[in-house]
Order: sequence, then C-alpha cells, then structure tokens
Amino acid sequence: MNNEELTAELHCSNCDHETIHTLVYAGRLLVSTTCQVCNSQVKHEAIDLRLHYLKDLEHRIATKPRRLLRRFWRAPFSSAISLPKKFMSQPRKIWSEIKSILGRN
Amino acid sequence: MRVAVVVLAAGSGSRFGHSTNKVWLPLSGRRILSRSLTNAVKSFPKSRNVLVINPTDSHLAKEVLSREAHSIKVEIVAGGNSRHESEHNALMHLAPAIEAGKINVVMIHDGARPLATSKLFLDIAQAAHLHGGAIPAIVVDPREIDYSSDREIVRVQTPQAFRAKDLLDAYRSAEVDGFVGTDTAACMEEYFPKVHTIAVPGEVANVKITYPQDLVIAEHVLEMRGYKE
Repeated sequence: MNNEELTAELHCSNCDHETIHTLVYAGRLLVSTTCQVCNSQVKHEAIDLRLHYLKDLEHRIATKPRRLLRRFWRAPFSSAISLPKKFMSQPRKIWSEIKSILGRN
Repeated sequence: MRVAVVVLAAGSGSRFGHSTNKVWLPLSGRRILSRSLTNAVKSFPKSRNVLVINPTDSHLAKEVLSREAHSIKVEIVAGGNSRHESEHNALMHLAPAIEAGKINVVMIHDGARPLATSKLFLDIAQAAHLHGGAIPAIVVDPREIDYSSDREIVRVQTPQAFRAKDLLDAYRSAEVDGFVGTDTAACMEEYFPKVHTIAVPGEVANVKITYPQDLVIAEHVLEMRGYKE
C-alpha cells in the first residue's frame, strides 16, 4: 500500500452529498483526501503526519516478523518466492513514503 | 447465549462510476471491514458470522478475508438494494438455525464502524439476551440540534442486537407488508413494540466512516489504542 491512490464515495462537507474522493496513502497512513467535484481537501497536519508516520513505521517494523511468519504459515511456497523481491524493494518503498510525507508541505 | 454476528457491507461503490465501497478502504494497514469484523466476533468464539456484501465485491471479500481475517469462519451473503433488504437476506440465511434454537441472539453491525470495541459487542449481546433487545446510544446535548428543546436526545450506533426469533418474525412480517425500516431497531419497534430494547452506553470513538475527516480521526484512535481493536 505504498503511495497508493484510491477512489471512494464519501460525504463531502462542502458539496453536502456523497461524491467520489481521491485518497492518497503513504504506507499505511492516509495523507490526503480530495473531493473530485469541488476539490476540497482534507489532510493530516504536516507535523502531526510526520510523527504519526514515525510511530506507524516503528509499529510496522516491530510487527513485521510476526506478519511474515503468518504469511509463511498460510502460503509457504508463494511467500518464499516473493520474499527476496519484497526484501529488495523495501528501502525504495520507504524512501518513497518519506518523500511523499515531506513533500506535501 | 448462542450468538450470530451479522456485518453489513453491501453498499455500492460504483454509483458514480469506478470507485471503492468505503468499507474496503485501508485504515492503518487493514481494511475498515476487516477491523469491524474482527472486533465484532472477538468476544464470541462460537458465533455464526455472516458478512453481507455486494455480489460485485465477492472476489475482493475472499482476498481480504483470507489475508486479514483468516482465523474467522465467515459466511458470505449477497446484500440487497437497501440496508433493510440486506438485513432480511442475512436473517433468511440464518432462519433454519434460529428456528432450530441454535441461535438465540442476532447482532447486526455496520461494516463502516471499525472502532466499536469487543466489550461493546459483549455488553450489547448480553443486554439483548436478558431484555429482548439492545442498542448503543450516546446522549447528545439537545442544544446542538434545537436550542429551545430540553428533551433528551440520543445518537444511536451499531451493533444492535435482538432475540433471534423475534427479529426473524419482524423481518418476515415486514416482507409481507412491504415495510422498510431505517435500521434494525426500527423494524423491531414496528412489529414488536412491547419488546424491551435497552439503551447501552455507546462509545464516542465508535464513528461511522462517512466524511473524509472520519478516516483521519479513526487513524488517531487506532494509534492511541496501539493499533489494537
């Protein structure tokens, strides 16, 4: 889920009805939502998002071994195949998340 | 107490074209719906668990459940065009077990409420088992709505639970009459007004994800809870 963009119907306070919103995520955190009709945007406060991201990253790292084990237990073959690729892509993924969080000021 | 947990997630995500139903959005690493479902069943190790979805989401549902809720046995039921119809479909799915006395409390929860704690689910189920029905409610300052009013106004949440047989009969009667209730309690009130429905203190954090701001609030609440529940 790194720097992912999704669209979903949410109630826009400005339009006062349900509209499609674009949601931008950095890792597991929501960075911003934008109403596709009126362009009104909801964001985490920048400083708050940075702190929130650090805490979240800490939690992700702490729980990674448990999550990996669970994945291996469920699908050992496909997990073993995909692990090297995932491992190699982690630094780039985290760097891209950090850039996305710092670059939103 | 033999409980069935019904989680409603049949809303359409495509009324305006290609977009995701909000219950499938990520919230701190897991989908909103998988958080709602996990919290709902935590206190009931032997419950029947029914997930009501839009049939177009069935592929996504299987993928998300196997990844994020693989330890929970879930029965998937196709939803209807309204909340009432989705509840009806879930109850018809459970009808044989209810009639056989294998389920005596049915609890219905909105999939877009991922922050209701397992304690709230337990309190609601126990109160419904004891009194006939239970809903979580938060007292609202009436001046927020009407400054001149001094009546007590409450904001009702989910999960809502009722004795299974009464609830099934209410939805069967509603089908015959063409009655469509706004929520579970509305249908029970229409057909079983004498059933004692208890208001259990709701939880302030039990927000229904509706506005974009709700997602930000939910992330904060989860962070404060250490990403548990």
